[in-house]
Amino acid sequence: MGSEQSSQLPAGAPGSEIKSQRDEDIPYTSYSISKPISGDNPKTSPRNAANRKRASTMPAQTVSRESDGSSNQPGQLKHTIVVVADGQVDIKDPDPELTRLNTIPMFYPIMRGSLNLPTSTRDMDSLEKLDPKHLLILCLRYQEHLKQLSESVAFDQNALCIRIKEIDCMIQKIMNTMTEKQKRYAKYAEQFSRTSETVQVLNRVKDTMNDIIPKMEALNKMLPKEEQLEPFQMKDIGRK
Amino acid sequence: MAKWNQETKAKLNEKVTANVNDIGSLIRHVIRASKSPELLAQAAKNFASQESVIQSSSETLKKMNLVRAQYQYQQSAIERR
Repeated sequence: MGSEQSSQLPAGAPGSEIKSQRDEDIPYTSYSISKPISGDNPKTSPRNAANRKRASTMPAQTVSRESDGSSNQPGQLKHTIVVVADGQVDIKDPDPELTRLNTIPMFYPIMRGSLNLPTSTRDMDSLEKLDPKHLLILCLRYQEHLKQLSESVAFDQNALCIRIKEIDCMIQKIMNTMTEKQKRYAKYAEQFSRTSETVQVLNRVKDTMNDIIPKMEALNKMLPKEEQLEPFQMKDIGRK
Repeated sequence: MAKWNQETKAKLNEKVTANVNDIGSLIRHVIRASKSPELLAQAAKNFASQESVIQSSSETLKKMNLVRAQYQYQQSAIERR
C-alpha cells in the first residue's frame, strides 16, 4: 500500500466524510478499493469527484457501471493495487482449560540447575545444595509420627479386645450363677407352695374337726353310759 | 522463539511429571517403613474376630433377661403364699 498518508480518511473507512457509491453496494471491499495508493489528495482525485457527483445525483448504481468507471483509471496517473488478504478471523476457543494453561507465564523451576543441561548461569546454586538432608529429616519425622500414631491406635484396639473378652467371661459366669439360683428358687417356690397347700389342708382339717367335736359330744351324751367314749381331746395348737 | 517456548514447556512438563512420581514413591516408602498399615490391619482383624464373642455375650444377656423374668414370677408366687 502507499507509504504516503493523506490526512483525510479514505472513502470506505468508518469515520470518513466522503462516501463512494461502491461503499453502499459492497461494504467489505470499500476500505481496500477506495483507499488511494498515491499521495494525491482524495478530494482532488477525479475519480472521487466523479463519485461524489454521482452520489449526489443518482444514489443507486450497479456494480458493473462502477467497475467500468474505475477501469478507465488504471494505466493513468494512479495505480490502484488491490491486495486480497484474509481478514481478522477469530479463532474459537477449542478448550478453555488449554488456553488457560497457555496463558501461564514462563517461569523458572525452583532448582534452576536441573532444567537446561547446557551450563548457563549457575549462580544461584544454593537451591540445589543441602536440600536432601532436610528433606530426609522431614520424611523421617513424618515416618516416626505415623509409627507412633499407629502404635497408639493398635494398643488401644488390643486393650479393647482384651476387655471384650473379659466382659464376655464375666457375663458367662453371671449367667451360670443366675441359672443355678433360678433353679434353687424354683425348688424353694415349689416347697413354699407345697407347705402352703399343706397348711391349707391342715386348716381345713381343723375346721372340720371343730365342727365335728360338738356333734360327737352330743352323740356321746346320747349313748348309754357303757358305750361312752372318753371326751374327745385334741391339742388345739393353732386354733383359737 | 515460540518453538523454544514450546520446548521449554514440554521439558518443564516432563520434569513436573517426574517430580510428582518421585514424590509419590517417596511417600509410599515412608508410609511402608513406619509399619502403620500392618499394625492397623492387625488391630482391625483382632477387633473383627471379637464379633463372635460379642454375639455370644448378647445371646447370654437375652437369656439372663428371661431368667430375671422368671425370678419376678417366683417372687410374686412366694409372696402370695
